[in-house]
Amino acid sequence: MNGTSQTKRVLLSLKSISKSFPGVKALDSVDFDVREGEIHSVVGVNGAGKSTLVNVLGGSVVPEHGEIYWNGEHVQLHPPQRALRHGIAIVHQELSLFPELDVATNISISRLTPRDHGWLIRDEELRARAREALERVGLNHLSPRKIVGTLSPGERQLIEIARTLNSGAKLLILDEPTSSLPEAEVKTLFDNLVVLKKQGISIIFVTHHLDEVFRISDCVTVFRNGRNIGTNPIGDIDHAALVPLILGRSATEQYDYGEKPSIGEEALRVENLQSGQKVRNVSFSLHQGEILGIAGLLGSGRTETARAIFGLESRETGTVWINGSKVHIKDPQQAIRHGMGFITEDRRREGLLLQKPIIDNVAVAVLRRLSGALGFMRSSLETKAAQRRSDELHIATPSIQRNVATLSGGNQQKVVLGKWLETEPTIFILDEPTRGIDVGTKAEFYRLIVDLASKGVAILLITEDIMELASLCDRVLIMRRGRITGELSGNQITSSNIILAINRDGEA
Amino acid sequence: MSTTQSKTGEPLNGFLHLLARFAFRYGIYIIFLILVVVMSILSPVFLTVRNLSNVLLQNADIGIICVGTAYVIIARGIDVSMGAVVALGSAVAVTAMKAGGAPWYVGLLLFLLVGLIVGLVNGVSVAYLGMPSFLVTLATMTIGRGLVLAISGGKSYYGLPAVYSNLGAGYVGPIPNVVIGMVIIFVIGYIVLSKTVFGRRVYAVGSNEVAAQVSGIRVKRMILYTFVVNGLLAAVASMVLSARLNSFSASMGTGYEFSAIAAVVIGGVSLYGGEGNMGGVFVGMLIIGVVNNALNLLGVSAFYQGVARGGIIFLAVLIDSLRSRYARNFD
Repeated sequence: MNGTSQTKRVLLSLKSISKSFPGVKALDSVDFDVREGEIHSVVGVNGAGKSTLVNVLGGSVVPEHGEIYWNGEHVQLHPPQRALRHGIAIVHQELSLFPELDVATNISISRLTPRDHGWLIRDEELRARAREALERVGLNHLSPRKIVGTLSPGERQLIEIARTLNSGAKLLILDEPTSSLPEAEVKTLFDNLVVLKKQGISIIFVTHHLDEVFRISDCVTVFRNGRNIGTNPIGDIDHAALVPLILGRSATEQYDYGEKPSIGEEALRVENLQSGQKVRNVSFSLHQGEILGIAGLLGSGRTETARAIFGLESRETGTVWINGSKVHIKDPQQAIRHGMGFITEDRRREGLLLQKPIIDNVAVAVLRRLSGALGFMRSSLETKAAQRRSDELHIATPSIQRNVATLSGGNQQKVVLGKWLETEPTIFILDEPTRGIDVGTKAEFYRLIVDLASKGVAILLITEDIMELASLCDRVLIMRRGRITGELSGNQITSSNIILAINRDGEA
Repeated sequence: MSTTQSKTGEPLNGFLHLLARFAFRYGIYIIFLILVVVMSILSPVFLTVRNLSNVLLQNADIGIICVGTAYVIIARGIDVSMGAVVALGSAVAVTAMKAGGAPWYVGLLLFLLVGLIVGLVNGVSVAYLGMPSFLVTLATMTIGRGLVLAISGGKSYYGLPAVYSNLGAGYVGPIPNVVIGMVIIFVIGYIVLSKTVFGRRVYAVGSNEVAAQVSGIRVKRMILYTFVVNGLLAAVASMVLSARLNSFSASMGTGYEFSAIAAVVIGGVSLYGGEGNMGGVFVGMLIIGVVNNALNLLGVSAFYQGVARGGIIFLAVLIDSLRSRYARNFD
C-alpha cells in the first residue's frame, strides 16, 4: 500500500474508521496515515467525508468502528480537549479568537488557568511567550500588545496557528484556510506552513483549491463517498489525473430530466455590479426558463452577488434590469414585488421561523395576498396555501401546525421552498438549495427545479455541488475572487470542466 | 404519536410529553384558578363583586400598558419607559389644563403627543440607530421622570376637567368605565395581533428577524411601530389613571413598567420573542392584580409585598427560560 518513498515516521494512523449519520455513511472503513513534518492535502467533493474526518481527528465526532494510533500508541481523541492534549489542533477560521483582546492574551488564553499560570496575570510573561510563538509563524514584527480585531484576516489566521503551537500542537488541521484570504496573504500563509513543516510540525490541509494542493503539499489523499480513494506523493500525480479520482464514475453519470422547452426572453440582466470586497464588476443575463449556475470556490463572491441583487447587501454600483426595465431594488420587499424569490444558503438562520408552525412559514412572504380588507388575515386561504404546498412538496409531517424545528433538514428546506413558491417568483435564486439534505430529497428538488424552469421561471443556481451544476444548468458562470472569469455552456458543462475552471487562476 | 425525541435523543414518555405540553400551554390559567380558589378560602371578602371590580379598576391602567408591551416583547424588544410616560403625559396635559387653562380636548392631544414622542424616540433609536432597547428605554424613562419634575415643579394637582373626572368615576351598570375601556383595548389588541397582517409581521420579526427581512418584511419599521404602540397606550393609561384619581402627582406610574413586563411574561409572552397571545397577557395581568389584592387583604406588610412581587417576576422569567429551552421538543 505505502509504496511511496516516504521514510519519515508515521505520526498518526487511522485504521478502518467508520462513522454513519442518518442516511449516509460518512466514513467507510477509512485508513489514513500522516507522517511527521509533512503537509498532507485532503481533497474531495462535498459529502466525500472530509469534514467528518476532520471532526474525528479533532475529537468532536466519535467513530463507530476502527482504531486511532498516535505515535504508535492506541488512543481516543474524544472529547476535543483530549485531542488537543495529544497535540492535534484544528485551526478554526477566526472563530475562536477574541477580537477585543490583544495578541498575547489570545495566544495564551487556554492556559490562563490558576493551575497553569497562577492567580494573577503576569503581562511580561504572556508577552514573552507570545513573541516566541509569533516568531514561529513568521510574525516577528507584530507587537503582542496589538488588538486582534485590528489585524488582517491572514494575520489572524497565523495568530490562531501560533496559539495552537503555544499549546504544544504537533499536528495542525487547516480546513479551507484560504477562502477568506486575499492572494498576498495566501502566499504568507503558505510560506509559514513550509517553515512549520521544517520544524517537524505535520499539517493536514483540507481544500477545494487544487492549485493550492500542488503548490504546497507533499502528498494528497482523495476522499469520495466516505472512502479513502488513495494517497499519492505530489510528484506522482497532476491536475488531470487528480480530477477523475475526485469525481469517480459519477463524472459521466448525469441526471437526465428530459428535454426542456426552449429558453425565453431575458428576465434578469445585471451590469457592473459592485458590492463590498466580494463582488467586483459582475455582469450577466438570465432568461425565462433558463437554469443558470454560478460556480466558484468558497469566498469567490457567488453568494454575495445574489444577496446584492436581492437587496440584502448594499451595492456600490451596478444596474439591474428585470424583464427589460431598469429597477432599483433596495430591500427584499422590493425584490419580491419584482417577482424574485431567494432561498438563502443558511435556512435555519435566514430561511425559517423555526419555532413557528409550517403554516406560518409558508404564509410569511405573502401575508398581503392571504389577507382581506383592513389587513385581516383570511385563515382559510392560509390553510389552503400551506396544505397545498405541504402536499405538493411531500413534506413529511402529520400536520401543517407542526413547528418547523421538529422537521428534518430536507423537510425544513421544503418549507422554505414552499414559502417562495407561494410568492410565484418569475426569477428564483437558489443558494445551496440542497446543502445538508438527504439524497432522496435532493432528487425531488432537482425535479422541481427543472419543472419550474420548464414553466418559464428563470433560475439562478448557486451551489458548491459540482455534479448538481453539471446536471441541471443550461449555462454555468465561473466566479473567482469576485469576478466572473468564464462561462460554460452546452456540452462544455461537465464536472471536470467546472472543477478545472473554478481553479484556474486568471493571473497565474 | 406517543413518543417524541428529546434533544438528547432519549424518547420522552408520551404521557409526560402531553403533560408538559399541557402545562406550558394552559399552566397559567390553572395557576390563576388555584389562586382564586385559595384566596376565596383565606379571605371572605375576596370573592365579592365589590372586591373583584376593585381589582379590575385598580389594574385598568396597567392592563392597557400590557397590551402595548406585549407587542414590543413579542417583537423581541423590551421597554421600561411606560411608567415615565404615565407620569409625563399627566404632567404635561394636567398642567396645561389646570395651570394653562387649556380645554379638555387639547389636554387629550397632549397626553397622546407625549406617548407618541417617547415611542418614536425609543423606536427610532432601537430600530434605525441599532441601540439596545433596554438601555434606550432606561434613558428615556430617566429623562421622562426628570421632565415630570421640571414641568410640575413637584406640585400636585387635584380636580381635572369634568370630562375626565366623570369618565374616571363613572360606571356602566356595575362596571367602571375605565374597566370597559381596558377590555376594549385588550380586544382590539387581540384582534390586531392574531388576526391581521400587522400581527403576523410582529410574530415573524420576533421569531427570526433575518428570515423576516429576507421574506420581505420591513423589520425596522415593524420594530418602530411596536414602540410607538406601546408609547401611545402608556399615554392612554396615563389619562385613565389621572382621570380615575382625579389628580396628578409626580410619582404617578412608579414601577408600572415592571408590573406590566411581569404580567406580560407571566401571561406566556416569551422574552426571547415570537411567542405569546393576548388572552394569556390578560390572565397575566389578572394574576398580578389578584396577588397585589391578596397581599393587601391578608395584611402583608408593605415591605414584604415588594419581596413577593419580585419573587413572582423571578418565577415568571424562570418559567419562560425553561419553556424556551424545551420548546424544541414540543410542537
